[in-house]
Amino acid sequence: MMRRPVLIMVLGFLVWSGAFLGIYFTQATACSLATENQFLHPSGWALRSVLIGLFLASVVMVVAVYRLQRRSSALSGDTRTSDFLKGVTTYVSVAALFSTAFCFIGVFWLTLCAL
Amino acid sequence: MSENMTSGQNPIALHRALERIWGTKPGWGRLAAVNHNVIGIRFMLTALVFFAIGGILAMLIRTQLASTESVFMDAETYAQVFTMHGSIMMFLFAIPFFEGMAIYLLPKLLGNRDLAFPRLGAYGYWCYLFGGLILIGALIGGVAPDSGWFMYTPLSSSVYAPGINSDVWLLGITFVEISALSAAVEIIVTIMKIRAAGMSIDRIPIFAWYMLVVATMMLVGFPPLILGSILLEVERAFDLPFFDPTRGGDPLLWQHLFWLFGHPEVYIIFLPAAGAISTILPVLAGTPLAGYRMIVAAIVSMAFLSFGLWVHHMYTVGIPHVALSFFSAASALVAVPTAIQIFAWLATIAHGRPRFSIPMLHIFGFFFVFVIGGLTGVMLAMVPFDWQAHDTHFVVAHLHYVLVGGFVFPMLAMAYYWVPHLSGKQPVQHLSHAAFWMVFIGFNVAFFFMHLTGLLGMPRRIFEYPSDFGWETLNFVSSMGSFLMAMGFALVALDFILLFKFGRPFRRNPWHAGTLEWAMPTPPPSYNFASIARIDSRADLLDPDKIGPRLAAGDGYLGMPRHDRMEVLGVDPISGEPDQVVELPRQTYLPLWTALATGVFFLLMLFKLYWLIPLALAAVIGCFWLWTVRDGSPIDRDPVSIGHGLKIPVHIRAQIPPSHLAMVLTLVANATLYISLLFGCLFLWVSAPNWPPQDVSLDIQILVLAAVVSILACVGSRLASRKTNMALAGNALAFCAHLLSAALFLWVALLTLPAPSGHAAIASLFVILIYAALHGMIGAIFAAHAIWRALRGHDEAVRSLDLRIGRLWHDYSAAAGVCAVGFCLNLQSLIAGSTP
Repeated sequence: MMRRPVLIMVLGFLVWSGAFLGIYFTQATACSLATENQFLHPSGWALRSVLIGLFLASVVMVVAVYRLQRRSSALSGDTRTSDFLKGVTTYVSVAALFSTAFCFIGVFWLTLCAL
Repeated sequence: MSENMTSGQNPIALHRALERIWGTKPGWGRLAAVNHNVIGIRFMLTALVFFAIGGILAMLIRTQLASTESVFMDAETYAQVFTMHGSIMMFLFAIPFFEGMAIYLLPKLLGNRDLAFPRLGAYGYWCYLFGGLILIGALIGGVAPDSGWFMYTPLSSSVYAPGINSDVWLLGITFVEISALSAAVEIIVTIMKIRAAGMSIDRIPIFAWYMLVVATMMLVGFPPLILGSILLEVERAFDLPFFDPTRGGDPLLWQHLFWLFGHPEVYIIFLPAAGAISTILPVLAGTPLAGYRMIVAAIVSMAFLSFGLWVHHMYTVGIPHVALSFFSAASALVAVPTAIQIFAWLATIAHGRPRFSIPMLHIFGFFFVFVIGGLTGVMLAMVPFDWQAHDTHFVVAHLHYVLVGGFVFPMLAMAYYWVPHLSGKQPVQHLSHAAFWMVFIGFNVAFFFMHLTGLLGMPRRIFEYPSDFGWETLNFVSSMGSFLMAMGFALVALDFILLFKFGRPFRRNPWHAGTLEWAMPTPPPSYNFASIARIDSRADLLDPDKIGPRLAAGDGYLGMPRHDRMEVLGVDPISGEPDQVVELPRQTYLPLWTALATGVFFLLMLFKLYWLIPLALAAVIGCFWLWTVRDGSPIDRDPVSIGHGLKIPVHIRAQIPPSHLAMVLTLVANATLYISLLFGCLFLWVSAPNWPPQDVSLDIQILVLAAVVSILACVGSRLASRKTNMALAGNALAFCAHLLSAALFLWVALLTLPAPSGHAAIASLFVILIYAALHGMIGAIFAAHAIWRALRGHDEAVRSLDLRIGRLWHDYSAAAGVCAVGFCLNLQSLIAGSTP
């Protein structure tokens, strides 16, 4: 009961944070190595595919987190407190889902390494 | 309050006894103050003094820029003046002021007597004061920082800033940040654990939600800046080239670390002010806050999003389009939770019958100014526009609209709303209207026209400009506006002086608020409440007029002083049910001595007297050790009565006492710093020129041995805490293992690595190994403390708090050691893989 409900509340945005670091780091590292590695060349399909894969995986994970939150015992019950926590958690998770979709959608069409 | 409790003693005697226990002693005893009322007021007053200094510097800037080719200041002086103006306003005014406000208000709003760690609050204050004095001393001495409040490298590196100016900033600000981090820990733990009975998480006042989010942001936001400051100081002092591109470093690493802190900082400053508005506005509108849940969700979302847009300060440094899109999208998104709050406030006004008092006037000022700042923020979030406006006066105008709108106007609203609480007097308000309009008009004249100056192309930070660029008229108007604003602030100051001198006394709750800070006498007594309330509705919808007298009569929990102890109620963070009595330490000079020792450490660093630093460090450690030695007796007591037939354990025997949670939070901040360091090193590998280095030879066997030994320390501490008869042996094992692992890490760092000044890769490995060694040494101190306790005969079976706290550190340092070894080996293989 201690900190779990609060942690569960922000789980969606923790996934968003991980996705942010993961996608940005992958893109930056691949662009840095692209000069030596043809597989990672920005005009090729490989890097874009990896980034799109990471993006889709992030969206799926945020959705999975939302489903997990709905079933979580830490938020279950019909007390006033759990009702409050459920309400806030739902708002935060929807915000996390929208943020994940909106922030990284550019991986589909924007140039990957050009300045 | 739903229950009727009676302490059965004379209320006057109760108040006298509580004042004797909680009150700050006169004379020199004031230096031993730990009470949150005293510390909070000191923070706020000191911040206001720094605000005045920063304001005077702003006037000097505007005087210089009022005309073309001004000879009022030369370039060097001007650089010091604008650097100190920004640094003072950000680090010495805005953050400390709201820390002080939170320290003063939170225990009252939460219905308790003090914060969780009064000594930590006092220590934080002294660190803030001494750190600020170092910076102001440098300004007076003509050696103030001069590389901008953002200290960009290489401008701040030793090549271009060879004096101590940059060192003053790096060390002084880091010293001040100790107080920010300590306040963050204290605020989080207090909100989670130290509340009135029955105050479940859905009942805490909205201001506490804001401060919970802000303090968590500080905990994660400040470590990257502290790391950046350490790395830059290490580069300047010992020539480790983290930011030198000729030796594998990268100036952009500083920008990443700085803005990882710098952008969330804007929200760290804005959110407490927004929390105050969410508290004040419903009272003045006479209706509950609209969208409480939505606001909580919005500020939580905002906290995360604010960490995803640091690069929007770096759009022009050369970043691929797709990466720019991540940050641009996050920058635009963060406007949504801000807008949710603004619409909630407007809905609250629309639902109620607003009183157009002075605080409300300042809130309207906030709306006008902050919304303009927010809109120009969205403009700057768009990459093409930012490329045009970057580093122009448009950005200066934007940031002042956001910060003055988002902090200064709400601060004035708070001041007019809560100064009656602090002084026991209501304003006479003869000057208040005139002061508001002077500040409001002056501000808009000064900064609205600055947008235009910026759009005409005037860059920031220039000390003079040619007469034929068409900037002079706009600059002159801006300067006149700023002088008018300064006069407005002088009038505000006079207004408050008159309030303290001639204000009208009042009995209780002049605003008819529903929060608990008004359920006490004003000015507040040192113990806030003679007894602690049980509440049964949201803590900003209460009736202080009814609750106050009952609490004053001792008709609540802990309404009976016990053995001169300073007791507060600890609750379960979610349900708010009492689960422990927290015994706070009494008044002590230790925070002052510890801060002085810490200050000596920073001064020795500043003056490069490195051979004396071990002595200063020993003094700091010794002082902190005295904090623990003086904590209570080694004998445990049974659960104690809190009144109304309830008995609960003292915190030392509780399952999750405040100090345990504080250690977890400290480790979160520490881990953030460590992760920033590891990512920073990877960033250099990815982005910095002149990689790979010629030679990276690591003694792999010794490193693996060091990692294994650090795990042994962790095993020893677990052994000690699981079996009472193994306490001595287990902690002795932990002590020896920590010392050995530290020695092994130091051996590799100092004796087997190539010279760290040769290349940033070696410097990175060196710093990571030193980090692991340092944690081993601190772990040894924790283990030594546990051994000392065991030898003194502490009953470790039930009184295990210190051991559990130590175990957290042992576990963390083992994990840090293993990560350090893994990272070093990986970096070595990556370098080997990319060597031509």
